[in-house]
Amino acid sequence: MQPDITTPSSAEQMAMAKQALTDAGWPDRKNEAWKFTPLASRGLSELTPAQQRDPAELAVANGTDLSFVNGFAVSEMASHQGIAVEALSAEDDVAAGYLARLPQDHHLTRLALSHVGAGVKITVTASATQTRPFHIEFSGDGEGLSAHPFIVISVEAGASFSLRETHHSSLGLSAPLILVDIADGARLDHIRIQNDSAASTHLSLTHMTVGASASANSFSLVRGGLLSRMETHVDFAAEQGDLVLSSVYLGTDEQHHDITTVIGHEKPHCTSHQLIRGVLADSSHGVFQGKVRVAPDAQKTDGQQMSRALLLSRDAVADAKPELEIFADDVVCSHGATVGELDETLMFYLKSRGIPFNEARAMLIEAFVADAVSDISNAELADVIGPEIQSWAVTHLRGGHDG
Amino acid sequence: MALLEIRNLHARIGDTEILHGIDLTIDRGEVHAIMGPNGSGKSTLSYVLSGRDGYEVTDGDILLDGKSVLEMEADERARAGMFLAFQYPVELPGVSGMAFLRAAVNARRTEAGLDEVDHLEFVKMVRSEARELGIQDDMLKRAVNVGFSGGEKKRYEILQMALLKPALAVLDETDSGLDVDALKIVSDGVNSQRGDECGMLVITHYQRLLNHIVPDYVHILSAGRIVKTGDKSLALEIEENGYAGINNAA
Repeated sequence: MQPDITTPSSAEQMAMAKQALTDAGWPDRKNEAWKFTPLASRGLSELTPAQQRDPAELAVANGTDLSFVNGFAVSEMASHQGIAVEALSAEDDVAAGYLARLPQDHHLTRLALSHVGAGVKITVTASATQTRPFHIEFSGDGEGLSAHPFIVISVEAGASFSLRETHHSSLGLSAPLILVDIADGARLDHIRIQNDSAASTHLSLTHMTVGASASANSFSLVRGGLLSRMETHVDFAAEQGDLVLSSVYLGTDEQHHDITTVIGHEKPHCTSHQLIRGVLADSSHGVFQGKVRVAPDAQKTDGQQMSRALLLSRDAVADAKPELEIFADDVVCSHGATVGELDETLMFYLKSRGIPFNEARAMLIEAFVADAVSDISNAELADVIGPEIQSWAVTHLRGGHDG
Repeated sequence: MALLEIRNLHARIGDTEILHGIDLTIDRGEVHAIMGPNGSGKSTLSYVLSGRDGYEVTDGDILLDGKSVLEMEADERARAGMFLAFQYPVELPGVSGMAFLRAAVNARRTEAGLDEVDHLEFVKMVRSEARELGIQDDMLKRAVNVGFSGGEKKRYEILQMALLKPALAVLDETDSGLDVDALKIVSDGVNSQRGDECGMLVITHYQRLLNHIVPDYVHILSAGRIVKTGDKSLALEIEENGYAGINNAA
């Protein structure tokens, strides 16, 4: 989609956002969208945006197609046939068109637009062939720094793209902005792993536009950072779009993980399916906010959303805020949210077979998240997630007996 | 030394005492049956023996190979050689059956100072034991007990017993929910595990199981106490006269 004449230029959008960010500051509990994840007292305004480093100093990991360090792309390897990777300036008209899709009057939009700069555009053509998923890696270090990587992905009509996104930065703040256009009949398979360092904050904003008969299958695993908010907005631009958007978050110590989704069913005959599973140990805090909006003429919408959190400790907290705003009358929509503990009966069964407490618990946790993981339809991407969850369980649950 | 020695065992759930002083000794190679009406404390005894949380021993002791197990968690007791075949085996959605069986066998092997079992070897071993119990390969591929019929769940319990080779097997109402054919298969499975090394405690409400798993001793449990002990003919007596007669005699 090209920007139309009413689209403000990037410079205008950025200037307005900076002003708004200065005026509004970081959201606190009084801000409804941030009441479970207030940012005001997190010291984020003391951070300095990271500067680009000399690419010659940086090593790029093997098997990575695109690498961001401190928010800047350091390698653009055209390693997949039919997939173009090119530099993109936020000032470009193309960028402006994408940026205009971001939710208005929204904190993460302001944050993104205030810092958006040099980015990357990935264009996937219908003739693209991938022998393995395209891998984007985000790293960086500097506890006083913030990074603002910017990526635009265009999956062209009829094209298919499998994408793996890995975050392991040690920054004060990582705030990736990813804008995706899935054109008519195109398909995106996407996994994202957020495993930033223990003290960092991660605030991501992803926007996807799903075209006619297009589909997106996106899964996020959140396990790193001290505070994270992974916010995903999806808009259906035409009929027969299909979205599977699932997440698993794993919390220990004082971690705070927030999964926020906003699905806009503007057109008829689209389906969205969301499964969220959270496991919370120690004093960790999990949040799921899921908004599904069905416009008046979006008849035959099928919108399903289910979140479940498992508390492993009395000090762990889970909050869920499912919101359905339905203005059409011929739709199938549901939502549900549960919070529970490990079932003693199941634990006893495993222990009665000699399986030690921590291992039994890890088995049940892996089983608890399994249905969200099984939403990943691309086998190669699914194979990446299984070991990630096992390694979390080994590190955090199989270590010692605290039950 | 006795395999299992239960001495003056008192146990409660919450504030309610269920077991009021049980004494029972089982030697290796012996099969003991405990019969009793509903509410006599049969299942409580099985849970207290296996160390389930929430079941509190207030007096007495349980010795396995002469060593008290009261301070041991359920998993430690299992690794020390205890096995409980559940009356109602639970379903574990998302837990792969093979991974579960392997974790159990490896836990027991590690305790015994043995290496973890080789994967291919293990699959072969499971298939061979499963065949004996009429368990199909596709059942082994499913999540633990998920989608199994009542009879299949009981067979799966016996499969676990065959793989774990416990020193002491406690079978809690293994006959419940089984039709005649399934009862025969399960009983044959249990009987194949009998031997000089293994002791068994078979808990049942009805005598019919004991036609298939013939016990050396029969104990009658009533209101949390063993009120009578005899040989297999005692079970037939119960079948004839019911538990009421026994209670009166006691």
